[in-house]
Amino acid sequence: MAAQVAKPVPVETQHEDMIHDAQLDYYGKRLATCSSDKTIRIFNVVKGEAKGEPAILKGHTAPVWQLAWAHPSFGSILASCSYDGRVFIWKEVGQGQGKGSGGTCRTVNSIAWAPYDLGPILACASSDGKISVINFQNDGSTDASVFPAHGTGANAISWAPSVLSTPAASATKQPATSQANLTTQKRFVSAGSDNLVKIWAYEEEAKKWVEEEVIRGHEDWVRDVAWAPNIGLPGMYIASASQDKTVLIHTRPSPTSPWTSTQLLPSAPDSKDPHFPDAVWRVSWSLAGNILAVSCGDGKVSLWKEGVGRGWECVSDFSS
Amino acid sequence: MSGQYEADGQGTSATCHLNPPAFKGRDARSKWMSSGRTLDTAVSPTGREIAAWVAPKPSEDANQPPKIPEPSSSLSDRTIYFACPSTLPSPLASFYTDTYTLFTSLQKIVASSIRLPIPGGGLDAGGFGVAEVWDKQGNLVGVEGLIGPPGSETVGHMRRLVMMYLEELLKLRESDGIDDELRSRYETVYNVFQLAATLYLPQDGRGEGLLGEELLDWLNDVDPQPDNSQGNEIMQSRNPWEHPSFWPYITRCILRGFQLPAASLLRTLQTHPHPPIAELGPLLAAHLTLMPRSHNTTAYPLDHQFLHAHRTWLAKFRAELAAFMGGRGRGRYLDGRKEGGEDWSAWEADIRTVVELMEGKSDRLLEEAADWREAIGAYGVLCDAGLRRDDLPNVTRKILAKVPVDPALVDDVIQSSLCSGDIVKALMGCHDVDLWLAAHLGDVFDKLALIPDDEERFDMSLRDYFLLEYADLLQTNPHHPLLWRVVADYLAAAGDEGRARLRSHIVHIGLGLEKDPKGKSKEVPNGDHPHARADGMDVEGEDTVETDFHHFTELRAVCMELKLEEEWRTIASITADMLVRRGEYGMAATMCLQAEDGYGLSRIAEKIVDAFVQHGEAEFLRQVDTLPPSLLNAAPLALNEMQLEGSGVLVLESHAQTTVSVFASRLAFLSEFRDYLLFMSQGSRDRAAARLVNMLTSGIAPASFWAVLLVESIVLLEDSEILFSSNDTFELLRVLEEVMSNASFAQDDYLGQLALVLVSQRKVGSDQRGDGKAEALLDIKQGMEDAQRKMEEVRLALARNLARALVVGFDNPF
Repeated sequence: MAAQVAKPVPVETQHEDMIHDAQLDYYGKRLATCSSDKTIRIFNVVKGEAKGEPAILKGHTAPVWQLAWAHPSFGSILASCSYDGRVFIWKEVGQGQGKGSGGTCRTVNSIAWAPYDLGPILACASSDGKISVINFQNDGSTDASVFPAHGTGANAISWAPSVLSTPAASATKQPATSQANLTTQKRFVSAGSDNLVKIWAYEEEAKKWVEEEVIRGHEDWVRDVAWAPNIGLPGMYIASASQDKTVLIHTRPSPTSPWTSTQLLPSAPDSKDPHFPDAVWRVSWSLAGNILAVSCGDGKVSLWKEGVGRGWECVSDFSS
Repeated sequence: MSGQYEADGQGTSATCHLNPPAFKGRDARSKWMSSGRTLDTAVSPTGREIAAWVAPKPSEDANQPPKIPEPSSSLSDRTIYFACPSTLPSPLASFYTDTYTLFTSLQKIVASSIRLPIPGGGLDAGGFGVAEVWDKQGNLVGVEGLIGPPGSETVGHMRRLVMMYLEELLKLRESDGIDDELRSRYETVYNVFQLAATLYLPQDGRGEGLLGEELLDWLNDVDPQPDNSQGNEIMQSRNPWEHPSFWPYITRCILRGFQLPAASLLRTLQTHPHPPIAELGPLLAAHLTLMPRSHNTTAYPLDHQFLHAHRTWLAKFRAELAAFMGGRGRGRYLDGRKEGGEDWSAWEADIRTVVELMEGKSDRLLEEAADWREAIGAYGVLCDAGLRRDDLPNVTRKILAKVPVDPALVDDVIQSSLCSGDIVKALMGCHDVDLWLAAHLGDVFDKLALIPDDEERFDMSLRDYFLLEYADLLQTNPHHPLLWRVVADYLAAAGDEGRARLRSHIVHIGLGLEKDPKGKSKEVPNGDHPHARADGMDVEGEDTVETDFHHFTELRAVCMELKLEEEWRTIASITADMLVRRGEYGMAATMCLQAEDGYGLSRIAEKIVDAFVQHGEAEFLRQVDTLPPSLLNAAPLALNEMQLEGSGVLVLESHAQTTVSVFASRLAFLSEFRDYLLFMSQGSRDRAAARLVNMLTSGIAPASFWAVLLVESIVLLEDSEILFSSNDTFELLRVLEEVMSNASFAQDDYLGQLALVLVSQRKVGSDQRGDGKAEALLDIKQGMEDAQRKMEEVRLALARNLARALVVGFDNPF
């Protein structure tokens, strides 16, 4: 079935330089954008269109790379990272007024908030190859654990869903009624210039982050990684995008089974060549974790979906 | 500004181009790519909407910012594009919402009609007790194989609802606002759904009746043949039999069950110059007219009466035909009578076709039928008048062997699968045609227990999978205001994964609080431009408090109905938080109550106490009054009850009671303190004194506020009347001692609030404004010293009052 694609609605951001990131908030009601012009802009989004003048957040002294909205339980909070080596946490203090507080780190490429039930925790991947996990305490103080992760540079970071579902022991025998066990997990995945994807888990007893898994498969820098929000089901999905022009989907059907990787095939069904026309810069999952958006250097964004028995298929793409 | 989309030839994906374009023309793409640009994207956390923008490619050197060789920032470089992978024309949106109500009714009707298996009745081999059969939201789970297909009464109910689906489909097909592609797609959907209803939702609920006529009706509806005007044209020609379409038209009429027009044409043969033909024509016409039809229920109220009549008719037809033939063999209807000079033997084949169709020869029928569909439609009327639903798969197999289905025609594949009873194949086909069809038809078949378990191929039931796909489609259109509700119900109906998705769906529904409520914008200082504040976040406030509240009520109702208590608590506590930040404590407190968030409530209580500390009595009273009166009035009562139950001791830490008791004590304190302030202002000093003692002795006042209350007591202690008994005074002394001893190591906790109160009172008194941090710190230090001095004053006042009370001695302890 050919899905009829809606007409894209353009939003003129009035940034004075290139845009590096744009993020919609938890409710899809606000759009935050950041740019080489060192500013962050926040637009209200009404029915898929930006309304009114944006709020402009100034404070960074260099291009702003990435943005991350915190869960609304913590208030209206936006984190930003920049080439100036700082991570700012912006908080809405009045209707539409932003207040920034900064934390100095290394040059930070990527930031991600942990799932909210783990508390206000921000993970940062920096270009010196280190990962910092910053924990914001109730009294306003922070504690950070910093550890080396990807030799020459950590490019991206993404948290696992906090709820891990392990199928009940007898699940194979009993259909739907048997309840899976739900446990909390504190994990994230990172990607780096060492061509690797790594999974990190927090060891509660030792109170430290340990490398749990190293996934090989890319032949060039891994530019982005995204752990799918899989809403309490046992299966796990991670997508990684690389400069080697491929996208890999790493899955494991249950927490005890090993990770396996599958390539997206952009030329299917004509060819099994896994290479996209250009480097792939970004991958992101939809809310239900069943649609993957892939941004490729050829100016195309494609949406992928796993069909029953048919593997991953491209369902639509957007081209400039 | 607009974008264009184009569907690629494969029909599996669609491409969408941006406008304003980032580049134009053939070479532009490579030029653009080498300019260091790329297209980047983010997916909305709420639906499948995506935001795309042109970004510079990350630099090869991680320590260098990306560089664009020609940094001329064009319009497309500054633009974010919002796009959705699908559109929803409004007739389709209303079709979706209308059929949604039918869908939910269908779930309810079927759920209420299914009988529960009896525990221990030999059926619980799978380990199911009754308790596990129903899940929390009243859906039946995991009982495949335990409960067979629904009873005939339920099938009847289902049929009625499916007929309503069909009506909605008709309405959609006839509406104006849809394009041809959609119209023809929904024609297919209608045809498939109608066939499914005909075959699997029989009128009698059991499917024991004769199928032939129903199937033929469906055929004539889906593919109307032959053309009436052609029939008229033939009839009006001078010698109709000379018309080239004379015989084909008759054949088609017979196949389609239109015996009367066929008979009229055959009757024209009586004027035919060739006598055997002139004789045979009316003979065939007469018998064709008399052919019994099962839908003639006045003549044949019962199936066996019709079958008997049909047999009799066939016997009579054959007998009379044999008499006419006079012993000649088949194919020699006109043999040996070559009169009039012309050879009519070419007519033999046509006549034979008509005769054999009337006789019900299946080989002839398969030869004459235009396609498998026509064959199957005619079969149950001509060949096997006794055809029933159970026989259809076999008959279909036989027919398809001779008249195969073109696998490229997806409609035909689905319809033939339905006829041959291959439900899974039919549903897979439906899924390729339309997600609405797959979801709703899958649901119907699931309820009829017709979808076999196939755990090898599918992780979840086919029905759930299709429902999720459909819900997904609806979620791609987040801007239709009511679809979130529809999505919620479909997800709720789609098994475990559906429920898991429902949980994340519901918390992402906007709170409707993003904008200022009306009336607030009036308070914007520069009234000239209420919507043009520098921060730009103030868009036109069309939402009123009422509509906010309406949205909450609805969201709450959905959460309650779908048993999403935990999610509702999350939503309510986020909302409360947002309201607290806005200073709307009243509504925030209501939300906290809904969220059963005792800590939220005590946070609000603290904020209001802070108002007293920072801004004094008037602000405190104003804020307390924003709380719902019922909340304040109920709090002291609730507290009383709890104190009675807990034998005078507040069980603050008891797990089950934490929420309620924390909220009760904190609110009770607000209420008591408000009463105290009011009594003071009214001059009822004795009652004020009683409140004060009560607040300090019952443990409801926060410890940090004790010092403030003690200082409040000074004026009352110094009153000319003795307002505190010696017992009360001893109590206050005890509290004073506690404050002083604790303050010796935690001065901020016990005297901090008092210090702040004194600072702000002093400022109000001297009308001086403290600016700067240093001054504020100085103020606090000064305030602390004042607080210590004040406590000494309290001690003195207490001592004096104790002496007076003891002298008067009503309640002399000695």
